[in-house]
Amino acid sequence: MMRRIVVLLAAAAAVLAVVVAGRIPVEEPGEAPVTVAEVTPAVQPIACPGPVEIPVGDIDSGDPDLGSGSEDRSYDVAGEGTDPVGAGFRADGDAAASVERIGTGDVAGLAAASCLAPVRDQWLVGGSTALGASARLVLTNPSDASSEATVTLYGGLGELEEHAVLSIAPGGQQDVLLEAVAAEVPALAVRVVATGAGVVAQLQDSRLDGFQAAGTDWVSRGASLATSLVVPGVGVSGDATATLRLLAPEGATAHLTLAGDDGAVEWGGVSALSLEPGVVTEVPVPAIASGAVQIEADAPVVAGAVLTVPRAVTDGPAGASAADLAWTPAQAVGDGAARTLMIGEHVTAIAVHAAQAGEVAFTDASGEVVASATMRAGSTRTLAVDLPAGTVVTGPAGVAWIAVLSDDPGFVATLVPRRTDVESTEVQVGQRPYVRDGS
Amino acid sequence: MSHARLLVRAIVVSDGRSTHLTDVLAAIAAQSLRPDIVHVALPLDAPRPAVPDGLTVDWRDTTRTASRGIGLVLADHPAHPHEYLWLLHDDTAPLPDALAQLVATAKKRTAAAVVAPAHVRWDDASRLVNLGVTTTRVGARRIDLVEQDDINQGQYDERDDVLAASLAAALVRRDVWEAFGGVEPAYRAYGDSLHFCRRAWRAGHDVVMVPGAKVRHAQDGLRGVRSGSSRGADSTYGLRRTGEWVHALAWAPALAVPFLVLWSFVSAATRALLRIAQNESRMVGADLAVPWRLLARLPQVPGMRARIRRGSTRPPSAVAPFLLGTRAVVSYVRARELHAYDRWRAQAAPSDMVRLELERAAARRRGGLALLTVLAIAASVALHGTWLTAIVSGRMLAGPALGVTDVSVATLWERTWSGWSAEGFGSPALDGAFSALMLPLAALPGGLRVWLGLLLALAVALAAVSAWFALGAATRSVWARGLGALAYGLWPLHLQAIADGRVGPVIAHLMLPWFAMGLVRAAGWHRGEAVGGGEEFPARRMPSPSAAMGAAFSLVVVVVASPVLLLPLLLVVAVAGACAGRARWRVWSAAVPALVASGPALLAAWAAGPLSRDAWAIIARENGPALSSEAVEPWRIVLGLTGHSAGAPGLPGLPGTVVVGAIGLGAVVAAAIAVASGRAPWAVASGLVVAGLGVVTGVAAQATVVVHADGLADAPANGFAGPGSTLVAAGLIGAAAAASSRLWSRAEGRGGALVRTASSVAVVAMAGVLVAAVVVEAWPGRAERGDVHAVDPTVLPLVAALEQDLATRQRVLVLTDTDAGVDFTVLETDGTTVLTGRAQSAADGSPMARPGVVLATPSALADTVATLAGAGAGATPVLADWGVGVVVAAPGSIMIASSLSQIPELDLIGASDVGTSYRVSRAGDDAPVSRAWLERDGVAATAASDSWSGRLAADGGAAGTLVIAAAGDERWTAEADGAALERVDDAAGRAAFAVPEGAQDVTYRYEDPDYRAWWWASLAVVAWAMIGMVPLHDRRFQAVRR
Repeated sequence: MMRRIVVLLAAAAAVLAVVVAGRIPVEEPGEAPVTVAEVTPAVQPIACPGPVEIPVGDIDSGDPDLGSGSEDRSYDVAGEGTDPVGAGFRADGDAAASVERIGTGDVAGLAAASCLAPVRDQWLVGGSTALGASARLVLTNPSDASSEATVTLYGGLGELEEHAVLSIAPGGQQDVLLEAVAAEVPALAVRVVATGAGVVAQLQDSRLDGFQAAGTDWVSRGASLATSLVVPGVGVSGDATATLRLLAPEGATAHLTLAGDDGAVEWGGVSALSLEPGVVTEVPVPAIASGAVQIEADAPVVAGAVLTVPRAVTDGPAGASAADLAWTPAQAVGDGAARTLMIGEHVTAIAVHAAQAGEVAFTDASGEVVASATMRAGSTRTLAVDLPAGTVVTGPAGVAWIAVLSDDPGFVATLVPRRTDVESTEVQVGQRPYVRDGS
Repeated sequence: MSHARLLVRAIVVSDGRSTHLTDVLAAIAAQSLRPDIVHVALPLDAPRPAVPDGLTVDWRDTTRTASRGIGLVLADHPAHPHEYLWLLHDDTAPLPDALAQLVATAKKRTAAAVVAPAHVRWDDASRLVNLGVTTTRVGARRIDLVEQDDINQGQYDERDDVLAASLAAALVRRDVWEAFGGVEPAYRAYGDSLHFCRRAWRAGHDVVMVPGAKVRHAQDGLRGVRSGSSRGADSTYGLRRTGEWVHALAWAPALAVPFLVLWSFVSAATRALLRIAQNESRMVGADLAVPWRLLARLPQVPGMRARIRRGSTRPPSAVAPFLLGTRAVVSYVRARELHAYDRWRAQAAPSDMVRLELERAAARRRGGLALLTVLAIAASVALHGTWLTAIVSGRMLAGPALGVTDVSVATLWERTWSGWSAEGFGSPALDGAFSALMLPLAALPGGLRVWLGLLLALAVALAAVSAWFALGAATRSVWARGLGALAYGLWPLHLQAIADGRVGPVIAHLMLPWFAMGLVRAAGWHRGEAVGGGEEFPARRMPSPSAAMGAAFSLVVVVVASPVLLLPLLLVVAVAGACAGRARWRVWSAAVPALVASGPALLAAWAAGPLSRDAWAIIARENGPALSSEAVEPWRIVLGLTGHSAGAPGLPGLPGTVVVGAIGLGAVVAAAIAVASGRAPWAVASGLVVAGLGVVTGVAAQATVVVHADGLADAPANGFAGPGSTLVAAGLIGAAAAASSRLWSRAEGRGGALVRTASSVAVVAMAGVLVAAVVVEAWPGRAERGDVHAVDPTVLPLVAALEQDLATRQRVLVLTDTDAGVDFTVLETDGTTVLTGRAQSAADGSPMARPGVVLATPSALADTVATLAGAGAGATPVLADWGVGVVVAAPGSIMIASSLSQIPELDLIGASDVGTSYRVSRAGDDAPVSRAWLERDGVAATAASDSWSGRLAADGGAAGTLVIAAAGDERWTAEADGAALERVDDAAGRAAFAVPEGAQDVTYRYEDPDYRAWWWASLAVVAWAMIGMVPLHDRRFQAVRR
């Protein structure tokens, strides 16, 4: 009997241990500490891609209407201390630009590009590899370190499997026709991740409608992934159209607002735009004379807008029309940084969007105001300017703006200002054990 | 032959402490030939016994020493011609015709100075005690010419001349006695007879044995009866052994004396080791004291030698034929051992019937073990066969928690010897036990890579076989043992520990069965082999001291591997000892090595406030690989489950908890049946209590953070529930096995048939569960439990690894890209090394060995690494200051590699598929980056260093500063030409010392006296346990001198 009791007591003790042990409070181990450090990279020279190339080559058919090339071609470089890098150039100073006017042929139109500093990670929202379109990605490395760039493409079905890897020597340039990488992608976004000091990536978007040029422009990088963006200068008139292109790598819900000169403009159906992860989404923007699209998203997005300006063909088949296009990347608002650009040929106006009410004034290198306006919060304005090429214009902090180029017979282009302060990047530094990965 | 009348003067010397004196006097009175005069020397305070009728006794008050007593008697009575002294002790009673025979021989052998009788046992006159004594040529070993307790069948009746005989009850010629001045006092009564007789031979006399004359000898002095000792003959061992050495010193050539003294130390040390192996711990002291006692008697030796020289008429060669050579001594020792062994066998021999059963049981047992081994190895191969092939092909196992396993002996040795953990910038270590545990594996051919790899790959098989042996103490059923062993080997949290590379819990799981077996056998609670009629053989199991030491050794291994088990197992030992009766001290001694090895941690826990959570965190610390795990409910620990269990392939409806927990469920059910059956109640109760302890231990461990953010690469982690779960498994399986013992043979009648059927079904069901568990765990495509994988043993690029081994002992900074930045680690060796053991730090980041002191850690390099990541300038001086000579961008980390390639101060020294290496140079100085250097307006000299010490040539010159690029702990010391250097402050937190002008040879080292004391103490107790656990057959080797 005694033995029975002993065993039962022991069993009861064991059960009690299970019950009581559940009441021991648990102390959670912390996460491994991570140091977040600001890293200021060395100042790198800025670079421009160079002249546009005709996708099919310069084919002279003898008939100026049918030839792909053009006799009427001007390529203007605005900048100081330029130095060729491949077909393009690098420049000293804070700003430089190239403006090219091609009167006829496949790539007729205005193509303008502000020179940019190399970065390691950049998004270009724009371009197409659909039939009749050519997307030529130009990677320029103005730094002293070699770089290896990995190009990832995104289309209407999400991230594409096809990608390209290019090595760019110090002071070198590489280009790749994206239609050779992934054809038949009508709406494209490109991510370029580069090693070393990074590269300057620019995309030549050239389109052809039958025999008629349908526009050429340079797609430059805009703001990197952010939840609050503005695309200025989406005002169009007449038959011209504006299209916004958006991409959220991890998916997002975006709220779009169209700002006009008098504030917000009614825009139905886009209050809560759902963006699938990695899918490039295009949204037509209502035509207003002067506008800007504000994007507020719950997850980081990149964006850009294209203006397509059709024009009648003077001596072509009846009913044929040609067009030119101008790409404007989104700009981050609220980063508190002033932006600068160099005025090129054909600059006619500055399109500006102010998030805050107040006086907006643009100055040149000597500090003289070249254009100004008093604006309401969340409104846009188009300020006509007439400045000589080579003028460095600096805008106020906290506004999004571009320089608008136009020329007969309906050619358009934009120049995008850049931040001239050295952006420090955030680096998370942690410790972890090092053994080799399995093989 | 002389017809002269002999005068026999009997002198009985007593110290008054023998109870035999009355018998002695009666025996004298009963002599057929009575002595002429009888003196009894007795101390004043001793009571005088009754004198037999007809015997006239001359009482003499004296002191307690025999020699003085005789001297006093002789002084009062002048010598007669032909006078013989019959020297009787108060425990020697001659048989009636003893004196007559002695006298007869004395008359015949006139040259005999000593005529000695045969000594027989007091209680049994047919058993011999002494029939003459000799010694070896060296003289340091007394050799009896008969075996103790040999039966006297007249086989020695021809013996006459011997080298020596006991003077007790011997006739000694009075003139010789007086010429020699009695016996030598230097012997303190042990060995003086041998000396006296040998002198007699050399002085021209004979020593004659009379086997027919018998004296009963109680050996009161030898057996410690006089001194009241309870230890028997052991109590006088030291004195006797010293006497033997005194004899050697007295008779050896003069030149040999110093060597003999030295030899006595060596001999004592050897015998002490043997005593430890025999678990005669008290005799260790006796043996170790012998040479010191000998030294104390050394001043008397010249006198003895002088007396021998003066009194000798015969050359030393005269006694040479009596002395034994080496071969004779060896056969003498061997014969004695065999004799003892035979005696033991005769006691323990089973009957023929039983022997047959035992042979059958042994065959069954061997078959069972062989089958189990094959199955367990098959399970290991099924689970981790790829590891085995990887190890064979020269790769090593590695993992984020495990680190690299190709760790050199030198690294492990430096870590355990110095107490300085070299990981990161270094840190004082609480203890070095884990390194010491790994050291034997690393020392084997193939190194730690092979043996730790095999240990992990075959951990299932090893655990199963260990459990098999342990379960043999609980049950003799081969089925129960086999199933229990496999269930233990396949315990799910054991599998988890293996897959995670948690070396400590794995080793604890392997060693716990051995501890349990040792403890049970130490108390004598193990089962005997079941023989017919429900009996066990042997019927009474003796507690085994060797098993206690085995348990002690297993416990220290368990506790070093998994410190969290210290408290529960100490409790088990304490309770087991309390219940172990006479074996209690043996059982309790099993805790000593574990306590000593855990000493620093226990002190640290005490200092942290006993019974506080901090103290528990120290007790529950992880010495080896650790990683964070999800805290689970107690019932999961009972079943050996982790937070999430994957289900069975093809059976989506079956929850993973049931699939993985099936073995644990089986053990719980078996234990429940054991409780219900009421069989083996104490064993079942103990098993359940141990299981309960295990649950509490497991839960308390996982609820505690045991690895804090310590500025090193390893991530914070909570404790692992595995060791607690191991206790649960051992308790439940042990309880079930104990209850199953003899279930089959006891089952009788209809109820018995039911029991037999039910147990057969249970066995088959459990076997099915085990097979299914292996199949499920090894199913192809099932998610791996952990992330241990096989990799090439070369982790760093060769250029980087070489720099770590050079005298400059450069550190290597490894950088790896992450999504948001870069991860880094500072490496002392080729890859992150965890197996040297954790230095242990508290929650505030201070080392447990230095509470409250915050030392520099590699986390100080975070900003520098960020600078490197941004290709900024100014990073390399910081790296050089900390002895980082090589920066490696991990393979695939192209972002950081491209940043590094932009930094002009870094020189690319190689790019390969194991990473891209860059050399760090000192700014404006040609001297290479090094672990320690002398600064005098720049670097004047670099030191040749290892992880904890170094030396540099200062070559005179101006004063400077010795900088050691290691965390500036207070226990760093430096010397210049033998003079200690003064510590100076270092802004970066390194160790720095002021080197005076003109210094030549500068050395530095880390020296922690507390650590060193614990280290030696641990080594001593563990070595003691290891020698003591050698299973020398107790009885057989008792024959070695007592």
